[in-house]
Order: sequence, then structure tokens, then C-alpha cells
Amino acid sequence: MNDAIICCVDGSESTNVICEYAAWIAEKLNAPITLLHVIEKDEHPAISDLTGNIGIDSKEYVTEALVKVEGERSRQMMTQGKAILAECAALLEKRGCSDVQLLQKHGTLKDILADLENIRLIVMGRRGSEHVVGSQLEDIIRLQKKPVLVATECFKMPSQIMISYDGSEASYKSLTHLADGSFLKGLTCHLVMVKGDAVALQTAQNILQKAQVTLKVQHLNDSSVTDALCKYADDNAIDLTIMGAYGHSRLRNFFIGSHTTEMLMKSRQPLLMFF
Amino acid sequence: MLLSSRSKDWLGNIRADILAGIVVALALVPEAISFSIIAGVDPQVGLYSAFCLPLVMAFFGGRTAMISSSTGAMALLMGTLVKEHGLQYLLAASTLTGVFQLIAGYLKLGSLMRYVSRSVVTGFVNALAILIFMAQLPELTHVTWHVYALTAAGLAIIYLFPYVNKVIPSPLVCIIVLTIISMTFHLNVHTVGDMGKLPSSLPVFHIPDIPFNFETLQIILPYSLGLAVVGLLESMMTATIVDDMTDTPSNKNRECKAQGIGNICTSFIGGMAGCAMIGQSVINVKSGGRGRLSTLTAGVMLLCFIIFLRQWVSQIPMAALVAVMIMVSIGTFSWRSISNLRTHPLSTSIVMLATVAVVLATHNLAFGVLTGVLIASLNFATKVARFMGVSSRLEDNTRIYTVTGQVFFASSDRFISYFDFREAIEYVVIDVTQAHFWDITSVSALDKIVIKFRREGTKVDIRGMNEATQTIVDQFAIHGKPESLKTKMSEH
Repeated sequence: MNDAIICCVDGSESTNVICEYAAWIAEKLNAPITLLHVIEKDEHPAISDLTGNIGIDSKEYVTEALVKVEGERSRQMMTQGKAILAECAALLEKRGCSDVQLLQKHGTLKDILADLENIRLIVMGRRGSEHVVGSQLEDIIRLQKKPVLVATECFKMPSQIMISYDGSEASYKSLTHLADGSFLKGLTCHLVMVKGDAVALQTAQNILQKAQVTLKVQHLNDSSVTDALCKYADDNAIDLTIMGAYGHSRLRNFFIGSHTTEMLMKSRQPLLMFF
Repeated sequence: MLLSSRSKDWLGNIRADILAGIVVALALVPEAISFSIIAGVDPQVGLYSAFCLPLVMAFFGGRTAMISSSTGAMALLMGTLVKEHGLQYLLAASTLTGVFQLIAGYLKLGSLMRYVSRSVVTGFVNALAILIFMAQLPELTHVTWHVYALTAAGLAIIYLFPYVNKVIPSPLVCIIVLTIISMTFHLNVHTVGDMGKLPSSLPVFHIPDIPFNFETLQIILPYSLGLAVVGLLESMMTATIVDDMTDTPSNKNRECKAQGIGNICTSFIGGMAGCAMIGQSVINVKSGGRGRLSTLTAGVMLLCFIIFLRQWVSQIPMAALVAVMIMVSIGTFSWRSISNLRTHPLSTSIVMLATVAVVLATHNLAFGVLTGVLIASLNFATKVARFMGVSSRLEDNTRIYTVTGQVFFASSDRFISYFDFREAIEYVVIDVTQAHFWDITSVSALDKIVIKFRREGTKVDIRGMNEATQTIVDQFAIHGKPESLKTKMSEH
């Protein structure tokens, strides 16, 4: 089986956009799409009885009541999810994706993705219906070590893309990987580096030129990496930013903060992130 | 790992967690006082542990929303220690209990719970409920009719008040109403204040005042072991109950370690060892508590109630506490197990009843569980032993015995009895393709058979040892050593 593009949908506003991006990238990579809907357990208790007493077989009665209420909740969400999946599948079909699989699971997105095999790339929204920006993205990216495309709130067919390059080994590796494939064909690439080593930028430029990519190179100097990147992207009508993500340890991120998290919050363009 | 928690564990359910925590704290007060009295110490000792344990568990616990505190199961074991040696020895024993539990956690003994069958758990909770109820009887004997009236009124309030109002915890209403009645009518009944000292301040760090020598260790060691075992048993059982109720997983080994840490901390602030409580955990889940915040709130609120309302707490009539404790014992008892006696197989019912009987006789839940586990294992062995049979047929001058099923200590006697040594025959083939030899008893039984046949002048051939059977036969059998066994094996 070909490694699939996992398209995570939850019925929020950006669901259609996510599907559009998935369709676009699936065509680029010639990969099948798996539409994934995860039914997350509601953390809020279904029953809150403050009477504080326990009587004959209270334990069993409370459990039975919880099973009933939570079961009802899950059934509803399952039906909703099925509808969302069907809608998305119809949209993908319209975009010419024939090889679409539907998948519905119980659990958390992070755990479900960890259990899935043959993932090529993950497409998901910036925020789920209940999650804050980036809260689960970091876990997913770190755990999966697969590229993640984080969609924004509206779809625009990418033509101008920005590759954020920092000269690190990880970014060098993903760059060569990109240059090898057919992914960059037909796109205008902006190779952008903020601060950092000019020689490294030159190496990167050579690689991309060898791959015959339409290229613009920019070396920026700004105190804030994120601001510089966002500004450049806005000024040059960039449609998609490709960058390495979470190159540093969690500990460092905890104290210093992470460019990735910052980019996720500030960027107005979708991000394609490599670990 | 011991401190790791997701922010969701703390903040996923703030409102319900805080409300549930308050409800639990209210219910913990009478229980902690009651269990202190069972253990024979001042209410302060139980209350400090009812404050400290939930607090520690909130951070370290492996099962969110489970409530730990001073418990009846533990208190029952402490009585003699306190009577003979005093509170300081109890505190030292609590520290040691914690150390044992911490070690148990690191040795991953929590997984041993899989040997405790469902009927043993049922027996455990039933015995616990009966013991909690029986512990209330001293408060109900040789007393005036006022006490009976107050207790009855208390129970009525607890179970009927929820029909009027579902927001105010009914045990709280029971305690407040009974306290007001007893104070206004100046009833001559026992109050909490008569039972000993109540906490007047935040707990302070305190090292148990005992001689640190071998003799002390000898005194506290048996108690600590018993406490550690009972504490872990009840905690693991409660964790399973909460898992089932909330449909979420827990980390049992982490919970073992946390219980250990909790008991060590508690003993250093003058509290007695405790463990998870079934009744309180059910109340917490029922009230909507799911996260770590619920446990934390319970501990902190409990101490606030006690310190700020000390004057009033000491006025609570014991009858009110007895009513609450009767409620706890009713809620802990598995009433369904009684009707299940008719439908469940006799062997499982015997396990349950034996567990209860041993606990009631020894007042030690560990012995009950041990008995239950033993009987359940014997039951199992007997049942599996039935899955063994030998059939035989005659082919020319060869008798072929075909063995099917499990051959082990419980079935090996029957295994031997299937063979007919009186038959004068030249060849015997024992086909064990469908059988499995589990232990040396079964192997020596096979040995016995082979040797016996040889003595009668019969040639014996064993066919179809599977891999697992081979290993154990290779190790322990003598009949074929040294070469003949190998040649026999290589035939297959």
C-alpha cells in the first residue's frame, strides 16, 4: 500500500480548507488520502450529583447512568463524524481524488496517529474545535516525525512558497529531500534565511538550482526570526511556508520558547513542517 | 514520571472538580474522625492524614479522581499497636508502611492484582462494609434513646433530603441539623469533642518520638507489612472501580509509589497511614470529580473546615457521625452480590463468602484476600484438571493410549489411574500430542507410568511431545536418560 496522506477533519470551520490542501498535496505527491475523524472523549463529566450520599449499589447505578449518557453522547458524535467524513469525501472526489479512505476512531488525535502506520504526511487545522493553537501539534510532530501541513482558515492554490532555512542539519536534510522529489515543480520558491551563515545559504541555493527550481533567495537580518519570516511572507504574497519544526528539546522550548509555536500563532500562511 | 501530569488532568474540569472536592471534604471529616476512633487515636491524627493524603495523591497519584485518606481497613489493623505502644509507634509504623509501598511500586507489584479475582474483590468490599458498620456499634450500645433517635433522624436526612434539594450534600445537612438539635436541647450525648484532640493549627513536621533500635523495628514491622498490603489492596481495588466508573485508564504502579510517598509524608506531620477509599471515591466520581484538582480541593478544604470550624466540629454529636458511617457501609457493601449468590456458580460464591468470613474472624483484610485468592486458585486448578482424559485402543499387539488436556499436579493422580498395568502386552504407545505437561509432578507421573510398564516387561514409546512439554520433560524426567530420550524425541 502506498503511504497515505492523513487528513484530520473535525467539522470545524477549516474542515473544507483542510480537505482542499489535502487534495492539492495528494496530487503533488501522487498519494492516496485517508480522511480521519477522531471522536474525543468529553472530559466533562456527564453526571454531577452533589448530594454526597451513597446508598445501595450506588456504584453500579452511577456507572450505569454514566454509560447511558456517555454512550448517547458518543453515538451522536459518531453520526456527526460520519456525516463530516462523507461530506469531505464528496469534496475530495470533486477535486479528483479517487483513492480516499474513511477512518473513524475513538481516542485522542495524538494516540490515534501514533497507532496508524504508513503515514506520508498529515494535514490538519491550526486549531481543533476545542484545542488551543499548537497544543497538540507539538506532540504530534515530535511523536510522528512526519511532515505536517497546518492549514489556515482559507484555501489558496499555492504558487509562491517560502522555504525557511536555518542551516541546521535537519533543515539541510529536508531541503535535499524536497529537491529530490517533484514537489517543487511548478512552484516559485523563496529560499529565506534569517540571521545565520551566508555560506550555508549558498549551499542550499546550489542544491535547489541543481534541481531546476524557480528560485528567489533572500538573506534577512532581523532580531525576531518569526517576525521577519511573517513580514517577508506577507510582502511577497507567499502561499505556503516550509520549515523545520521543534528542532530543540522540550526543555529548551519551555524556557526559551519555540520558533515553531510562534510561527503557528503568527503566520497567516499555511505551514508545512518537517521534524 | 512520578510527577508528570497533563494540564488537562488539572484544569480539564475545573468547576466540577472543585465542587466535587468540597463535597468529598465534607464527607471526609466524619469518616476521618470515625476511623481515628477505631484506631484508638485522637481525631486529629486521622484528620491530618485526611488532609495530607489527598494532597500528595493529587500530585503523585496514578489514578486521578481517586480519594485517599485514613481508612477503616487500615485503622482496624492499628488498634492493638496503639493500645500497647502508643501513637508514636503508630507514626513510625506508618512511615515504614510508606517505605514498603514505595518499594512495592518500584518492584511493580501492582500487577499482582491480576491474581485477585472478582469474587475476592466483592468479598473484600463486603467485609469492609461489615467492619465499618460493626465499628459503629460501640456508639450505639448502652446509650440513651436520644442517640438512637438522632441516628435514625440522621439516616433519614441523608437519604431523603436529596428529594428536596440536590445541590447541598445531604450528609452535611445531617451533621448540621443534628448538631443544632443536640446543642439547643443540651442533650447528654457523646460529641466529637469528647473523643480527643482536634487540630488547632496547620500540621507541623515532626519525627516520630521512638527509640531507633532493632526492638522498635520488631514491634512495628509486622504492623507495617500488614498495613502496606491492606493499603495497596484497597487502593488497587478502588483504582479499578474508578477506572470502570470513569472509563479511563490508571497507572497502578505509580499509584503504589504514590501511596508510599503519601504515607511517609503523613506520618511526619502526625497523621496515621491511610489508603484509597472506595466510598469516598464513588462519591467523588458521582459528584463529577474527574481530575487531580478534585483530590487537591478535598484535602485543602478539609483542613480549612477543621481549623476554622473547630468550635463547631467538636460539638457534632457522635450519632451524626454514626449515621454518616452507616451510609458509607451501606454504600460500600455490594448488595448485588447477595442476589448473585443464587445465579453465580457455587465455587465463586464460596470464594466471596470465605473472604468475608476470614476478615470478620481476623479483622485483617489481608488474610481474607489471601484466603480468597487461595481458594480461587484451587478452584481454577480443579476446573482445569477436569480437562484431561486418556483413551486407549488396541492395535495388533500394541496398546495405544491417547492423552488429551492438561496434566499437572492436580490431574496427575487421575492421569496415572487411566493406565492398565495388569494387561499383559508387548508394546505400549503413549500419545501425548494433545496433552500438555505443566510441572514436575506430571513429569514424574509419566516417569512412573513408563517405569511401571517396563517392569512388567512392556516396551513403551511416547509420541508427540510438543515443544513446551518437551522442555519440562527434558529437564526433569529420568525414565529416558541419557540417550534413549533424545532418540525418542528425534523421531518426531
